[in-house]
Amino acid sequence: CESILKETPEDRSTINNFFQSTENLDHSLTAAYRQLVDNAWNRSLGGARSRTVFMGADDFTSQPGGNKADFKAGDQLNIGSSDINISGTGWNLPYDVILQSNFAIQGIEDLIARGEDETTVKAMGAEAYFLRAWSYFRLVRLYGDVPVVLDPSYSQENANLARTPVKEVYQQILSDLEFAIEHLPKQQVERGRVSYWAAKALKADVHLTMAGWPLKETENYALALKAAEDVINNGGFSFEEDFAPIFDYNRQDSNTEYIWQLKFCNVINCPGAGLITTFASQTTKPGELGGFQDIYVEIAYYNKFPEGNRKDFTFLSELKTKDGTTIPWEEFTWKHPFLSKFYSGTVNKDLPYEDQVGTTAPSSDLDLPMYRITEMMLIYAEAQVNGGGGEATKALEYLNQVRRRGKGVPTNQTDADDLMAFTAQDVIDERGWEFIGEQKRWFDLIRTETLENALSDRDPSENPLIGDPSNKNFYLLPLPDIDLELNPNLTQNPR
Amino acid sequence: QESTLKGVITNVNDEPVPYVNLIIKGTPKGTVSDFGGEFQLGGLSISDVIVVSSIGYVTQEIPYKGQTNISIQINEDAEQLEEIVVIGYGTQKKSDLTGSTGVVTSEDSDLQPVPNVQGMLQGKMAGVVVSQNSGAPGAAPKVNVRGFTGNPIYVIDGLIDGDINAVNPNDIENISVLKDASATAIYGSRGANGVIIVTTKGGKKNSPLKVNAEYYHTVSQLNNKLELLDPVSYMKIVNKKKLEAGANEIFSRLEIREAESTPGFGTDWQDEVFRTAHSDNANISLSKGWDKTTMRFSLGARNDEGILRNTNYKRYTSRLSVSSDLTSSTKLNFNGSFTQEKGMNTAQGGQNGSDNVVAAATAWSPNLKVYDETTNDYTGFQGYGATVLRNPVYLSEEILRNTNQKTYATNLSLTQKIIPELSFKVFGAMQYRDINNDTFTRYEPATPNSVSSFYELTGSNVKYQGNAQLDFNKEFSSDHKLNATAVFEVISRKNKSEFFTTSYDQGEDQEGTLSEVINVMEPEGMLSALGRVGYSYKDKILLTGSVRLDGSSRLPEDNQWDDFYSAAFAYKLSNEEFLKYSEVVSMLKLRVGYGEIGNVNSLNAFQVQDLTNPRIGPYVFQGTELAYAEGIENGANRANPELRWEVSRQTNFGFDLGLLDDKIQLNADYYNKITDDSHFNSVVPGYLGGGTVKSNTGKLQNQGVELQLTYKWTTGGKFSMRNTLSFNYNQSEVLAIPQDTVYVGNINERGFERQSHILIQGQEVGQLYGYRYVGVKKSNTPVEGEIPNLEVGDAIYYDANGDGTISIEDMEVIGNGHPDMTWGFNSYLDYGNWSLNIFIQGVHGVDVFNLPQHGLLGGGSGVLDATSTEIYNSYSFDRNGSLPSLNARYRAQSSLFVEDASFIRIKNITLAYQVPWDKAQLRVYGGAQNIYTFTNYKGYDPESNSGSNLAPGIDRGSFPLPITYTFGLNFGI
Repeated sequence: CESILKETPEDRSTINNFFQSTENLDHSLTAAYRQLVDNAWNRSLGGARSRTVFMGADDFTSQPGGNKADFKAGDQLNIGSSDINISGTGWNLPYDVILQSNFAIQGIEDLIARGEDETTVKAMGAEAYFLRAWSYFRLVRLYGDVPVVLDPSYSQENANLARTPVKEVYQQILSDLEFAIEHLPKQQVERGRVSYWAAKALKADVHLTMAGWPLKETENYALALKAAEDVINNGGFSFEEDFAPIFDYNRQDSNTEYIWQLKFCNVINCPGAGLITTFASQTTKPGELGGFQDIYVEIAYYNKFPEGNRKDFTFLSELKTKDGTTIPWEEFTWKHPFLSKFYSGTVNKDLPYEDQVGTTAPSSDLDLPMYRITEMMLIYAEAQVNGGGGEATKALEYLNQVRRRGKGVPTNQTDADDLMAFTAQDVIDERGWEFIGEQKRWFDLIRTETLENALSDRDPSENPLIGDPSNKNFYLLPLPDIDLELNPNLTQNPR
Repeated sequence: QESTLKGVITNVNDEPVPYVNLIIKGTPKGTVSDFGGEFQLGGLSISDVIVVSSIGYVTQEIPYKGQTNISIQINEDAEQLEEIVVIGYGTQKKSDLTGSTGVVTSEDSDLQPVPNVQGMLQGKMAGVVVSQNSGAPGAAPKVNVRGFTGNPIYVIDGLIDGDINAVNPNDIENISVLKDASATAIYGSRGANGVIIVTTKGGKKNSPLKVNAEYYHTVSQLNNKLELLDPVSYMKIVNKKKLEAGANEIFSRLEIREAESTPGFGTDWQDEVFRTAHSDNANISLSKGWDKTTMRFSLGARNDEGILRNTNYKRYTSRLSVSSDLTSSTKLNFNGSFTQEKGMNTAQGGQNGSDNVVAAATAWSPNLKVYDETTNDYTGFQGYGATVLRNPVYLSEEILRNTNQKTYATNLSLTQKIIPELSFKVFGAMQYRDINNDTFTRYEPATPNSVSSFYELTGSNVKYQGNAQLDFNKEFSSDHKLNATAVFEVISRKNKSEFFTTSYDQGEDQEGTLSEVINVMEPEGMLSALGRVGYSYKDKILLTGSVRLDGSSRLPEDNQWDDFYSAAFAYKLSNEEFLKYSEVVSMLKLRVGYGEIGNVNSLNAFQVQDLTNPRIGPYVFQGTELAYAEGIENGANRANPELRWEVSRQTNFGFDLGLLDDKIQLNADYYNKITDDSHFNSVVPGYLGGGTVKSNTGKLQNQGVELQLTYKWTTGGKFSMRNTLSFNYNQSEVLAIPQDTVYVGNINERGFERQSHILIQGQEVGQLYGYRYVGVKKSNTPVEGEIPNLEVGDAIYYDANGDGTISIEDMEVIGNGHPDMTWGFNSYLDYGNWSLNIFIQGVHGVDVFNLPQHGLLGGGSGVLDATSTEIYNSYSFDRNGSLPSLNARYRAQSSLFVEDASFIRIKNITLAYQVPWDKAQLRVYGGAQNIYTFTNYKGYDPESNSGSNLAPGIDRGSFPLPITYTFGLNFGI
C-alpha cells in the first residue's frame, strides 16, 4: 500500500534521468536558444523591449508620453532599479539562457557516462558553452559585477551568491569560449546554430571590449584582431556587395554575411511556435502604418547619417500616399523618422501606405543578425588602429569597403569619398551607421567612453536627459530590486 | 382495581423501540421498554392516562381503557430529527455537538433560487463567507470558512474532495459545515480550511411514489452601465493628448466636424457586448419507499445565458440513490450520478490579458464602428486607443472557448451490525471526470498575416477512495454514553491532460498545421488511519477526542507522515437542575475545542523533485522545421526537496443559547487559528532563472468572532416569521515571516512593477502594495515626498525612502483586500399560503485594485487613450483637477486605483404562493436577485474581483453580477 505514496512521473522526466541520448541534449539546447526569443512582447531579443537597455545611446528615442515609460527612462539615462520590463530583458533573459545552458552542460557528463560518443556529445554541448559565454558577456557589459551561477538547481548556496568582479566574469566567459572553440564544428548543418566561427566572432568581440572600458587591457586588441582575421580569412563568409539584400527576407537563410542570426518563424509557417519579432515590424512602424511606434530614430542621428543607399534603406523618412503625394517624417504623429531596416517581408516603403495599414502586424519572422562578417572587418580595423597588429592598408580597405557599400558604389573600386587614413573614432562612427538596430551602439559608446560626446548634439526637441552621460556610473544599469531583496548579499550599482 | 398492561412499542417501520418511558400521568409510577420494545406496566386503573415519551419521538398520551395488551406506534419527532447533524464519518444529535458546526437544509434555500451548492451557503451561516466574484454563467462562488485561508474541502456523500460544481443544488438534503479544528481534525490534513459535508436526498421508507417537478426562468441584465465619453469628446481628447506631447494631432478638424454632424456616429461598446440574458432551469425527481428499500431518482437541466454576448453554461444532472436493508443487520447504500457541463466563454472577464471583453468594452475607441466597410471585417487597432485590447465584438464573437466536462460519481457502502453496539462499514467511491476543452481563435481583425488557431485539451481526472470503518455506540446507563469510531482510508487520484494547437491560415478551408502534443500527468495518493471517541455524562458533559495519521505523496519521503489531534468539551448548563425548569433559558451550552490539522492542499504534484519542463516553446534552426525544446523547470514548479506539512492549531470558545422556548437563539464563537510552516510561493531570484518555489514559510494567525442570531415568531394563526442575522469578524496577522516581509500575488499583473501584495510581520494578510499617489504637481513649490525633475501636471508619487527617485522601494501598503466584517440578514415571512424571503448582505472594510479604471483614464501600457468622463478631472482640463495631465505617468500599481469596495446589497426578494389545491402541491413564485447595491466602488461591481486568499482584491475587468428576475413554479404529487 505504501506505493500509493510514491510520486512517479509517468511521462515526465526528472533532471536526474532526463539525459538518455543525444536527442535529449538537443532538446535542452533548444530550450536554451528559445530563451533568447521567448516572449515577443517583453524580453525577447526580437522585441522592442529588449532595446530599452540601449535607449541611452544617441540612435533611438521614444514617445515623451507616459505610456512608453521604460523606453523614455532609458532614453533619459534614468533607468530605475524596479522597472521589471527593463530588468526582464536586461537581467532575466541572459540568466534564463544561463539556467538552460547549465542544464545542457550537465547533460554532457551524463551522456558520456552512459557511453555516448564523446566527440558528438561535446560538439553539441559546446553550443551551451557558447550561449553561456554570450549571456555573461551581455550581463557584464550591462551590469558590471554579476553573480556567476554554473549549476542549474536552486539551492541555498546559489540563493546567497555575491557578485563576481568584472575581471573574473570575463575569465569565465573566455574559459567557456575556449571549450566552445575547441569542440564546435566549423560548419553547422542548420543556420541558426552557433558554429566554431560564431564562437570566434564572439571571442573577437569579447577581446575588443576587454581592451576598452572598464578593464582597458589593451593587449586584447591583438587577440581581437587575430580572432576577427581568422573568421574573415577562413570562415567562408563573404562581404555582400549591396546593403539592402543583407536584410532581404527571402535571402535570410542564404546570404553570405551572417555568422550567427536569431531565427524567427511566425505561426503561419511554424504553428504553435509564436517565434515572432515585433522589432522587425510592429514596434518600429509609425502609427500611420498601424505600428506601435515604440522606438524611432533621433533627429540628430538621422541628420548626420551619411547619405546613400544605406541611409535610404535604413530609414522610413516619408510615406507614399495613394494620390501620389508624400508625407515627410516631420508630419508623422511623432515627428521622427523610423527604422525600416527590418521591414522586409512586411512593409514596402515604395507603395502607398494606406494599403499597408496594420499589415503584418506582429507576426514578422525576419531573422535578426547577431554577428555579420562586416563586423569582423570593422573589428580588424579598430584593433589595428589601436595597436593590435595586423596590416594598416588592409584595415583601411575594410573600412572603405563598408563606406562604399553604404554610399552605394562598387565596393572593390576606390571612391572619391574614400578615407586615406582613419582613426578609431571613424570606425566607431561607421559601426554606428552600419549596425543601427543591431544592438551594438550602446556597447560601443561605453567601451570607448564616448557616450557624452555622442549625446552632445542631441536635438532640443528630444526627451531631456536626466542622467549624466559624463558620469560612468550611468554606463551600468541598476540591479533589479527584487533580486536585491531576495539575496541580501547582492549590492546595488552606485549612481 | 388495578390491572397490568403488556405491550410492544414500534416505530413507523414496525421496528421495536427500546428505552421508551411510560408513565401513568400524575403519578411517579412508570416503566421503560426493553430492547425488544416490550414493556409491562402495572398499577393501572381505568381512566388513567399513560404518557409515552422518548427522545426523538413525539410524546403521546393514551387513555387506559382496561385492555391487557396494546401495541403502540410512536412517531419520530420531525423537529427533533432535523437536529441530527452530519459530522465527519457519522452523525450526531445537534445538542450533542462539541465542535462548531453549521447546518443548512434544503428548506432554507427554498425561496432563493441558487444555481450552485455554494450559493445555498451565502449569508446563512456565521463563519462562512461566500463571495460571488464573477457573474459569468456557471461561475462558482468562492467559499471561505473562518478567515481567508483557502478553499474548504467538500465531502459529497462520503467522497472526500468531490466535485461540488457537478452537484445540482436541488438534490441536496443538507449541508454541514465543520468550522473549528475539533470538528475538522477527523479529516486530518484535508480539513485545514474547513470541511463542507454535503448529503444528497434519498427516499423515505413506506412512502408512495412522490413526484416533484420544478421549473424557473430568469431574466438578467447589467446592473449599472459605466458613464463613458461620447465619440467626439474622445477624439478631441486623443488629439489633445498628442498635442500636449509635442506630436501632431490624429484627427483633422474635418474628421471631427464630420463626426459631429453624423447621427449615431461611433459605437457604444457596452451596448454591443452586454445583453438581456434568459435562463431556464428544470428539475424533476421521483422517490419511493418500500418496507426495506428506498430510492430516489432525479434529473436536472439548466441552460444559463450570461449577460455578455456569446456566453452560456448548460448543466445536465442525473442522480440515483438506493438504500436497502438486506437483512435486519445489513444495510446497503448506493449513490450514482452523472453530470454534464457545457460552457461557452464562461471564463470571460477577469483575465489578465488582451482577451478581456469587459475591459475592452469600456476602453476600446468609441469613434470606431464594429465593422470596417472597406475591409469588410471588424475594426482593428488604429495607431491610437487600446493596443493592449481588441475590438470587443471580435473578442465576443471570434474567440470561442468551449468547455465540456462529464462527471461520473458513484459510491457504495455496506454496513453490518455485528452486535447492537458495534457495526462495521465498508465504503468505496469513485469519481471520474472527462474534460474536453477547446478554443477557436479567429485571425485578428485588419491584420492580414495573423492566423486562426484551434486549441484542444482533453483530460481526465479520476479519484478512488476506500474506507473501512468500525463504529461503537453504547449507553452504559442513562448517565454514561460512549461512542467510538475507527477508520482506515486510502485515496488515490490522477489527473491527466493532453493539449495541442492547430494553426490555420486566414482561408479557413485550408488545412491546419499541428503543434507538438503536450501531456501532463499528476498523481496523488494519501493513506490515513483515524479514530474518535465521544463520551457524554448525564447529557450534561460532553467530551470528544480524535486522532488522525496521514501520509501524503505530495511530500518528500522523509516528511510524508504526520499525526493530528483534537479534543473538545461541551457543558449543557440547561440540563442542570437550576436551569432545567427556567422559563426564559431553554438551552445553554458552552463549548471549548482545540485541534491540530496538517495541510498539503496547496501543493501540486512533483514539487519535491526537479522535473524537466516540456512546455518550453520550440525554436527553429533552419527553414520552418520546429525543434522541440525541453529544459529544466523554470516556472511555477521549481523543486524544493525540503517541503514539510503546513500545520494549523485552532482554539474555539463558543456558546449556544436558546431563550423563550428557543424563539430566540444565539450562537456565538470566538476562534483563534495559528498556521505554522505555511506553504507559500517564494520567488526565485532572476539570476537563478526566476519562477517560484513552494516553501514552508511563516506563521499566520486568523482570529475572529462569529455570531448568529435567530428570532422565530408566530401568532399561532396564519402568520409566522423567522429572521436570522449572521455576522463575521475576522482579523488576520502575520506572526512571523523571513526578513519581516514576503511579497505575494501575481508578478505579471499588467502595468505592475512587482507583486501586488505584501505580508509584513505584525500586519494583516491581504495588504495591497503600491505607490502612494499624492496628487498632481500644480506649482513649482515641491510638496512632501515629491521627487526632483517633475513638471507641472505630472503625478506625484510618494518618495517614501527619500532617495529622489521613484522605485519599488517606495511602495507602501495602500489598502487591504480582505473585508473586516461581513454579515447576512435573512427574513422568512409566512402568511397563510404566502411566503416571502428577503436576503441582504453586507461586506465592509475591503479595498480593491480597480485595474480597468487605469485603462479608462488612458494609463495602460502601450498606447491607450482615456474613455472615461472622469478624465475631465485631469490637470490638462482643470488646473485644480485631481488627476495628472494626459501624458503623465499613471502608475497602475498605485493608490490612485485602489478603491473602497465595501457594499450592502439587497441580494434576494422572493414571494411565493401555495395554491390551495387538494390533489397536489403547487407553488408559484417570483422574485429578483442582486436588486440593488449600495457602494462607492467605481467599477461595475464591488464583489466581482479575483485574487487569491493571500493576494485578494484585484478587479481585472470581471464579469459583473447582473440583476436577475426569477419566475418559477413547483409541482408535487
